[in-house]
Amino acid sequence: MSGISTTTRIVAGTPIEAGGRRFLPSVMVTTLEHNTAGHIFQVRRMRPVSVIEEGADIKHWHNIPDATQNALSQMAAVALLVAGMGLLILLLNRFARR
Amino acid sequence: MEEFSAMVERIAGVADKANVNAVFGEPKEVHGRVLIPVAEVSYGFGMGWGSGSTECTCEGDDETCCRDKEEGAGSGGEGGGGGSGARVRPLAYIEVGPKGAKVVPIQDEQKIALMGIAMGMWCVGWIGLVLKSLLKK
Repeated sequence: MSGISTTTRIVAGTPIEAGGRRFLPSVMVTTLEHNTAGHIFQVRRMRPVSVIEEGADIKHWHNIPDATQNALSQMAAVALLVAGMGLLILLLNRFARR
Repeated sequence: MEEFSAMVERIAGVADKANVNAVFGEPKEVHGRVLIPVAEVSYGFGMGWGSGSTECTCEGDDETCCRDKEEGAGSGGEGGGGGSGARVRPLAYIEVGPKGAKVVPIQDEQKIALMGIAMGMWCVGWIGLVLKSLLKK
């Protein structure tokens, strides 16, 4: 699988004017690409990271969470914990019976 | 190869549309509030092409090859193919009100529910396995 390159960078988007405020977005761009004679492919993922809100006298940083991914990660962590605890109990039980 | 060039241009057009500015949508005013949609954008494309030639000396039994060679046709071929796809997943929206802006996350309930069911089954399986082991004499 040589010749495949992966790059990740943070890119600033075009400022957005809304409700009398200015928003400066930033996006994380992950690119996976392969380019040789005869075949080429590219996969690109653009995930919003944050937005900076600029008003007349305020400047706020807003993080953009991936709520779905966070929930799934928490569930996966619980599943791993249950498996770990179960395995530990099984091993302790096996040692206790000897 | 004209068709192939057209396909490459079409795929490049998809890539151009899915640029960084596609992540943050145009602000929309809904019931006196301004909403800015935010989404995760992914796209991918791949293509391949190649060419080949049929080598024959007209000395063997390959009549088709010899006939093609005499007629000046079928001495080689070329071809290519490709495909592309894009996905947009809503992540949140920015609500701009008179008191300021706030980011409201969007959850994919269906995905979370499916994961919840799978996790429930996983936990029940593990608890069953542990109980079976503990109660075994």
